[in-house]
Amino acid sequence: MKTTWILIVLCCILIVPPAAAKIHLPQSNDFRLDNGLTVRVIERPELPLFSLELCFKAGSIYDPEGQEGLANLCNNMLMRGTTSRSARQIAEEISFGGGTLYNYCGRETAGFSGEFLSENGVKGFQILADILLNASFANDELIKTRNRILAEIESRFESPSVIATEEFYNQVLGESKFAHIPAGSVSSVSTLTREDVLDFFHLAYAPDNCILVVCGDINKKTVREWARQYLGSWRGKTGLAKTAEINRPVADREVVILDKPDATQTQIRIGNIGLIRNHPDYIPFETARTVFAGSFTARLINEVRVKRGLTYNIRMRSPEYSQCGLVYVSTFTKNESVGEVLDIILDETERIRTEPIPDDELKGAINYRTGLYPLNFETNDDIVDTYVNLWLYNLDKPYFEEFQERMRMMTPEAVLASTAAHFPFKDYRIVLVGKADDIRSQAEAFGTVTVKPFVE
Amino acid sequence: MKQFRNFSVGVLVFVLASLCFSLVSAEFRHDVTEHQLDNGLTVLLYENHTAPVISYYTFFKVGSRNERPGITGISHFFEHMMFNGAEKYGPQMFDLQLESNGGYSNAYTSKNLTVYYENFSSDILELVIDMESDRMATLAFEPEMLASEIGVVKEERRVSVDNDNTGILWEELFATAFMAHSYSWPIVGWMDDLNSITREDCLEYHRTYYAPNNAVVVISGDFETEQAVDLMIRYFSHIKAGPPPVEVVQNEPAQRGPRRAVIKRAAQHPHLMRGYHVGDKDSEDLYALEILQFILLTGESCRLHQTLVNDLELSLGLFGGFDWGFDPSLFYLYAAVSPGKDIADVEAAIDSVLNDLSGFGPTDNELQRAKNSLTANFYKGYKTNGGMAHQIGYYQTLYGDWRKMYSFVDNIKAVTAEDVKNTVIKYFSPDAATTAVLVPEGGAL
Repeated sequence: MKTTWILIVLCCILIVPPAAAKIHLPQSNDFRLDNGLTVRVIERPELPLFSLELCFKAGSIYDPEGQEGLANLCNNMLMRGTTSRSARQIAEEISFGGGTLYNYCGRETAGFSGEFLSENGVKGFQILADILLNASFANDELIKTRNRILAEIESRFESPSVIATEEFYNQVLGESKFAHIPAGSVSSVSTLTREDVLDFFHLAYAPDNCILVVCGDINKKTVREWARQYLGSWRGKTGLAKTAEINRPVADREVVILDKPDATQTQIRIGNIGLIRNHPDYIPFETARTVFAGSFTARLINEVRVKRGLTYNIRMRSPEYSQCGLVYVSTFTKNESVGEVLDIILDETERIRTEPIPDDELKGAINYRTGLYPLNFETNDDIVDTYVNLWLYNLDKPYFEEFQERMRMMTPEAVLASTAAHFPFKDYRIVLVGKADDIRSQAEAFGTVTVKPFVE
Repeated sequence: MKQFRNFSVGVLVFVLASLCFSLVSAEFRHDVTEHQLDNGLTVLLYENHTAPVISYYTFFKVGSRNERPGITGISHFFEHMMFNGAEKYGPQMFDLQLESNGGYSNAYTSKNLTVYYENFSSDILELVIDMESDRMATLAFEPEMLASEIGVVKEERRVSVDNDNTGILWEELFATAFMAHSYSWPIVGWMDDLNSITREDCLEYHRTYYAPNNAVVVISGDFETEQAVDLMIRYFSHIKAGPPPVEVVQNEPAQRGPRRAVIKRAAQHPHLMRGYHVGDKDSEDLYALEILQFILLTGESCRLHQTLVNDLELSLGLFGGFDWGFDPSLFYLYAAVSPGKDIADVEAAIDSVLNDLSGFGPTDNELQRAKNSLTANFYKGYKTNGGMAHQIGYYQTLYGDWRKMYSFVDNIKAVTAEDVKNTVIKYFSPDAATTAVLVPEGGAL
């Protein structure tokens, strides 16, 4: 593959509006059930399918101290059977109708998403309601699910890339609730009980703590009928405490090496605190990120991959949450090239922090981002995701609809101001996963080096 | 891999509304224009004016099966080099032109095919055709770009194989299952071969496999067919046909007993792969194998998930499948063995599931579930412009006739429980199995 982007593109090359067309989010029809459940329906009747997502503010940042992984375990248990359906029956009933229903748990949210044929759509609502109202949390299923999660936590060490990113989160976010992975740790998950799960369920999975977004070939009247019929008797009030985070950057330079003696390649992460989700500098920052490491023709791709053949992929990533964010460069290279790659990253960072981006380069990046932007709103799933984000991050429609217009107004000066503020590579954390004997001396030029075993 | 869409919305609505269930696939048709240039280039065009965008796909009938020892990985290497400059549009210009006009490109290589595609607004069709023509006719192999790009591919190999337990096991499985055929080596190539590929190898490969008579171009989207054909003639007619590619010999001897490969390596848990030789793209069992793949491997309700993950808690997860190949392919299963569990128990459980299917076949419910989901997935895939182009090109390149895509649903519907049972008996006997296992060495990674 030319890059890992291939999978994304194969899945979503579609009928898009013209490259320069302004995005108009389809209108939602909103209503609220008596129990407090907010429902948004977006009618798109072109295809006889609809997508839905029931999203709760119930991700891993709500894990109680010492019970990291509880939100994830609770979310998983909801798919493990009800008083009338086994986990297997749930899976079989969904697939018999050609539909899908998945559970998920991230840092901020947890919930369910699925796609159904319109004519079989009622099945989705019936099963969703059964899960929420009648989940059995059977002890034998809990033990199985907990064991499986524990095994998955251990198996993360099969992927140096995953561990590098996790360690980077730990290094930058420290004691933050956002630092730990949703799955939790072996020690924390091992102690979780059925009572813990039930307690979390009652606090988190309440109708006033979620949003149901439905988009596709289904009308508001039908959704209202189904929501009332199947979810109307659902009761509860959320009791989760809101978290408060301080988005504070690290103020020195440290390098952590996770020693993996058999590695012939080193995973590299370098960065610091980034932007929160609805930060006012989002547009100039994204413009700069595109120029720096956000496309096939970006500066870091050109310098590290094209000119020197030192990596297969290098990207700047910027995960953004409601209360904190990160910005970091992610790449990998053979052990002997680690220092060279870090030098290039820092040199290019200095350049983009201090020199205005030439007009042609800036225009090309803006055209690229604005031209592909409509792809983010093509499918029913995309629209559902957008409306969930509107709710989660208190955004408004212009946030999305005016993205292209605002990006087209970017000037070299405006972008430069953004990079000076938000390209956090004056101080940073570097995480390297590789063979310490090969990379330690290269790393010492970039900060205080600490070496730890890959597997604690 | 098979799916994709496009056509008037009305037709799709009809098709999907009748899905699963009572589908009349005879109604599922598209107005595709076929044109062949004198140099042998096949051009297929499908107009869709729903939005002012176009997908442009180029299929080259070449994959790692066309390589020879010593230059393994060259097909995939070409996929990289095609973005590194030609006579008119130099290094990086392809992406620069496309991206700065709001477009996007990428490519993939398989054992059988190499596919390139672009998605862009309809006002730059001529630019894209010009750039595609340029790299088909005059791809440059500048020594410094060759050296740099080989470095990129080696990093790709390091990340996806050498430092990835699943990748390295996959490589071992195919190298063990195939003794003679070129399906035995990895698409990315052996590391030492990557060091050995020469500029002359590249020139010869390009002349043969990237010639117009070995390619299919599909354009789908917002354009006028007559105008697009004129552009294709204008920009591609001057390119000379290449020599006919050497036929790949189907030389794989029959497997005479179970085979086994063991990798000892730092790992958190054991890994297991199983392979069974099956037929090629023309096999009469192709669709029964598709059903079997669903029954064994797809979703939480499939048999192996229920048995290995849910009931016996032996595995963390599974995947598998098989290619529609020009030559007889390998149906493979992968299981991430749970830490502390025994590989032998996983193998016994897999054997038990296969024994049950060979003895009793699938249940009516799971057969129908497989048919419904495969049919639904088939049509869902046609939602996109690029999907439509891919589907047309895939069938045209594989079968020489894009219309064969219309038979998928009918062929799936025709599969009986007895067919599935007989397919398991025919291909999945213990003596036909190739097993590759990765055993953790020394505890810590």
